[in-house]
Parts: sequence; C-alpha cells; structure tokens
Amino acid sequence: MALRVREITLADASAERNRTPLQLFMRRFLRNRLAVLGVVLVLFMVAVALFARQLAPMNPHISFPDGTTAQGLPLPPTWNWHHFFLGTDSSGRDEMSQLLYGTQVSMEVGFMATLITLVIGVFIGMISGFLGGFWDNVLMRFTDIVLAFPQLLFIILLRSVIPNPTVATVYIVIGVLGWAGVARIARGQTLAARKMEYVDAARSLGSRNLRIVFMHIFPNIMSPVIVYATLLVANNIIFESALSFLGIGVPDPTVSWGKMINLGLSWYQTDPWLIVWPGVAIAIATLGFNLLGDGLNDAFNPRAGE
Amino acid sequence: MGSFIVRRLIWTIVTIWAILTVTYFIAFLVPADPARLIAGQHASAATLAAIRHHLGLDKPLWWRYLAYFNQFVHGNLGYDFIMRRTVSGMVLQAAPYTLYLAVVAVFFEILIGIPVGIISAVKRYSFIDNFLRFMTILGISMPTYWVGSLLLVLVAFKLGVLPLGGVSPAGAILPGLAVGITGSAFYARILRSATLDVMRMDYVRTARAKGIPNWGVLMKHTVRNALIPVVTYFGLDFGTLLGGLIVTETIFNWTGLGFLLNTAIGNADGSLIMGITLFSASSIVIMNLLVDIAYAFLDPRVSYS
Repeated sequence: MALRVREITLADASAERNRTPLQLFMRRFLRNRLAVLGVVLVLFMVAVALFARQLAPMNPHISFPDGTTAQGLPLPPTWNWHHFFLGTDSSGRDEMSQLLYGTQVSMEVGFMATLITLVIGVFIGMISGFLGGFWDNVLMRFTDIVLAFPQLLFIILLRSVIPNPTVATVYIVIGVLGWAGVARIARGQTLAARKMEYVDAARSLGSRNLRIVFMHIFPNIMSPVIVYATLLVANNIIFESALSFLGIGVPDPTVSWGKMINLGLSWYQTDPWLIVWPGVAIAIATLGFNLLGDGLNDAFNPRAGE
Repeated sequence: MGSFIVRRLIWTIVTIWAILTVTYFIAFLVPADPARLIAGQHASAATLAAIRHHLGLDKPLWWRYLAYFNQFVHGNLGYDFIMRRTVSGMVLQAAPYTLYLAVVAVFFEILIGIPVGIISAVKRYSFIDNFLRFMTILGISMPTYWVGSLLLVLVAFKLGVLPLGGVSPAGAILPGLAVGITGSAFYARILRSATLDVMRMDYVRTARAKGIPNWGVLMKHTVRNALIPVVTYFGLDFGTLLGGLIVTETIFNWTGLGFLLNTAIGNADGSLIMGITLFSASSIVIMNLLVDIAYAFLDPRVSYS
C-alpha cells in the first residue's frame, strides 16, 4: 500500500489526544462505506416496520374481488401505487402492501429473539466466567451440549408441538435455543476482564461480587457481544422466514415474507415475481444487519481487518 | 491420543443422551393420543383404554421415557400411527438421499468458496476484493430456500436445462447449488482471513526470498496452511448444512429427510418430527466426533488434553 505522508502539526496532535474513545470509534465506523450502508438499510427497515400502516397503499389482509384475473390468476404489476403496484397474490391481496407489513414481523422476531438470546447467554456466560472452577465447568459443559444441537431442527420440533401459536411463540422458540454462542463469548470476555485492575479497584472500594459483575464487568465486555447480536438479528430474521415458509411460522393473518414465498412457489410458472419480491425484502433486511455487524466489528477491533 | 478419542467418545454419548432427553420431553408436550389414531373417532372408552394399556400409555412418564430410551439404544425410533410405518424405517429410507445432496452441496461450497477466498486475500483491498467481500456478505444474507426457488424458476423452468425436481443425479445440482452458494460465503471469509494471517508468517517471506515464484509460494506455502481453519469449520458447519438442505429439499421434491419432515409437519405428526430431529442431531454429533478425530491425526499441533 502507498504511504500517505502528512506533516503533523502540534494542533493535530493535541486534537488527536482530545478525542474520546467514542469519537475515535465513530470515525473508524463512518470511514467504512459498507458499514454506513448497513446502518441506512437497518434504519430504513425499522422505519418501514414502524410506519407500515401509514405507508401501505392498500389493506394487505383483504382479498380484492378485482385482485385476480377472470381465470383466478394473480395480477401482474400495474406500477400504480394505489392499485396493485406490484400485482397481487393468488388470493387477490396487494403484493406491495403485504411486503410492507411483512417488515413488522421480521423486525419484531429478529429483535425480540435476539434480546431473549442475549439475556440468557450473557447471564450464563458472565456467571460462568466470574465464578470459574467447578461451576464454570458445569455451565460450559452444558453450553457445549446446547451448542451441539442443530438449531433449526429444534426450533421446528419445539414450534410444531406448541398449540395456538402467536408471534411471541415464534420469537421465544427461536430465542431460547440460540444462547450458547453468546454464553461462550460472554464467558471468555469475563474471564479476561476478571483479572483487570478496575475489578481489583472496585473490590478494594468494597463492591460486592454481583455489583462488580453487573456494574463494572458488564459494560466492558459488551463490544463483541453487540457484534454477535447484530449478526444474530440477521440470522433470526432468516429463521423466522424459514419457519413461515415451512408453514409453522407466525399464525394467519399475520403477513410474513416466508409465507409469501411459499405461496408464490405454487405460481412460479406464471408469476415468478411473487417469489422474487419477498426474497429481496429478506435479503435487504439481513444484508443491513450483516453489514452493520461487520462494520461494528472492524470499528471495535481496528487491527482485525488488516 | 487413545485417551483423547475415548474422552471425545464419552462426551459424544453424553451429548446424544442429552439430545434424546430434550427431544423426548419437548415431544411430550403434544397432547396427541395414538390410541385414538389406531381405533378411530368412534371407538369405545374400553377399547381406547385397552390400546393405551397395550402401548404402555397408562404407565408413568419416567417409565415411558426409559422405554423410549431402551428402544433408541436398539435403533428403534417407535411406530408412527399416522403414517402406519416404523419411524426408523422411514428415516433410514430418506437419509441416504439427504447424504447424497449434502455431498453435492459441500462440493459446490468448496468449488465456490475456496477460489473466492484466495482471490480476495491475494488482491486484498482492491476493487475485486471489495466486490467479492460484498458478494459473500450478500450470500450469507440470502435464505437458502429462496436461492433454491430462484434457481428453480430461472435455470430449471425458464432455461429448461435441468430437471424441475425429483431424485436423479441431474436433479441434485440445483438444490446442491442453492445450499452451496449460501454456504460458500462462510468458507470464503474464513479462508480470506486465514490466508492473510499466513501471508505474514516468516516462512512465507523466506520462501519468497529464496526466489520461489509468487504462484508457488501461494499454493505450496500459504493456501495449504490456511486451509486448516477451513477444515475445522467444515466439522462445525454440518448443522447449518443440514438445516439448509432440509428447507431446500421440498422445493425440488427431493425425497430426503427434509421432504419427510415437511410431510410430518403437514400431518402434525409428532413422533415422526421427533424421530427425524433425533436422528439428524445424532448424525451431526457423530460427524463432529469423526472430524475431530481425523483432525487430531492430521494436525500434530492439536493438543489431546
């Protein structure tokens, strides 16, 4: 790589010294164009989810009588925002409005499942790392077993035996099975943090163990956990769509992109776009979180990408 | 080495036992009544009680758990009263198809992932690297079953060059490719960073200083060593691979475990879902064991303690 030599003035040096870690982090993050694209995509998806009701041109749950052709086939795109912009599905429902409403379930399941995973994983990991010895061994062996479970299969099994599911059922099922990876990371970080001087300092000031773990160690181990959590949101969005695709996801009439792809698959010979649109929506949402997670990782660990 | 294998083996058995136990108690949540499935809706209470007694359903939960455990140890996953066949029979019939597809999928993962990872590392920070890195993140971001659906529409239907579905060597290409495209992204990323790490090593600089051409250094000294973490990942990846296959099989009417699972989900067939989960999870754990042992033989630096 070419070296760019620049004269460093005294003013530059002092400006550099006065930057807070947050400012340095922000500067590294914003320099990464893909990471910024990730933030934009995530914010876009969250905004669409929050304002789906206002944005949707039609009611996504209504099967319009004029929504299918005389032969009962889905309508092609009309490119008229208020009248079947992207066409309809085989039940005569507006495709564009369904896409916008689908964002809600994706974001809800993505965030809530990740939150559940984080709470369980961080708690087990920190306790394990802080206690060490016997309990660390027991908890980590347990974590290893959970890590060996194929997650999608157990999500399918657990979800298929629960009667009368709601959206919450889906994110709880996805969330409770994913914590092992988080626990591993939190444990490793806690193990390293336990020997830090600030922990000794807190203890010498009379802090109890619980206070040390949650007030002092917790904020210091969060950066790798946040990176992992961001990537988990993307993963959980795909899990939800896969469950809905298999017909055991969110219950009707909740709109889900996975369900739309499943429905579209019956019509791929005449209306392949019914498969394309919801898949593009999933890809944009997960791409946003994956880019954001990668960007956060590079900004937290400035040397990792070199 | 011997004690490493023994300890790893015991751990595998403990894990499979844990999977069996969790699976059994999850499946126990279903209020399904096999007696009614056998006798029909209009059977008398006495008939139902007799069948329940015959099946051992009137016994306490711990007794039935031990009975299931005993069955499992003998390779029997129970009888499916909806399909009216044994669960092990159906699972063992479907499993070879999934294994076949898994081999095809891994072939595509390696075929795509390894060249992309090497090119990305060699041309690091160039336009090609940025483009490939973006493509790998995009690959990770796409659901496997969606990539499969797109391939079905574009390659099988519009171009008509490959079959729309069904079990045949040509029919394995598209579902395998769908899993391969999404799975290769992980291989490419791991290989890129591993290659970059190895390229900084002293022995690579020495090889270069000896005057070995760049291509030779790359192939003989760099990539060969960078493949070690890729092999590790190969072992860890089996669960994800199987998950991808299971959702993709249905699209192509590939009658493996995923197809069977989809049928079971449609029938709300708890014992079959449980049997497939148990069989697949055990296979993954055993596969991990085999990869670990093979790895210990291949890499003398692995500590056996």
